[in-house]
Amino acid sequence: MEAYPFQLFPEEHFYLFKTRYNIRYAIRFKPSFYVLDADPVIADNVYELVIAQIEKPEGSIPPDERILYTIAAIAEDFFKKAENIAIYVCDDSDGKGKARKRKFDGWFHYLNFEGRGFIKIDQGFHEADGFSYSASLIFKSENRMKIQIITALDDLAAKYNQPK
Amino acid sequence: MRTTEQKLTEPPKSLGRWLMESKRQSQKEMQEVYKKNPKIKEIFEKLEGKPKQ
Repeated sequence: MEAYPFQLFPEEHFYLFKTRYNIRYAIRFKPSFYVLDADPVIADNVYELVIAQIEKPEGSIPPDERILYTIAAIAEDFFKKAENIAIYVCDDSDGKGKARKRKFDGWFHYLNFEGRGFIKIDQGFHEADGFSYSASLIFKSENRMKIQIITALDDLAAKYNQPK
Repeated sequence: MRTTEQKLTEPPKSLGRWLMESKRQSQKEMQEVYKKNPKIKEIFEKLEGKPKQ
């Protein structure tokens, strides 16, 4: 399936595309060097994947698989810099975090990201106040810091999963 | 790709809630930027293959 045409808007670091149902999307890899307490060579290359519908028509919108392919194509572009690391957090504030995580995992598998040279590592967080969610880091398998990246995520989990 | 965000000097009590809020804030900011920056609408017009108005 073909991705929708997209374009980077460098001024804001947005990738932009529009669907056949007239939804306008902006995808941003937000610099998140402050999340991992790791060496700058890792921490400075961490970006949070933020997907925003910036304009959409009223009413219900049919499912559209091309969005998935478009985000995958955008990710391929983002990872042209092999050191880049994307963090994706499945929001569970409405109790739908597990469903989001399943969907996200399904996309990763369905689009054969692994076969295309990507690694995804997942970490569940169960914080002291009872809040649970999952975070995933995605990076290229050729990333020479992969062991340190995995360790940094483990360290983060150890820090926040400890009962306070 | 530096922004004004600073390294966390003190870890938030709940990283999860902090990240969720950060994501929601980013989405709002992106919507605001879209409304205010005509260059973004121009890009969409190009993507749609429509002539500029």
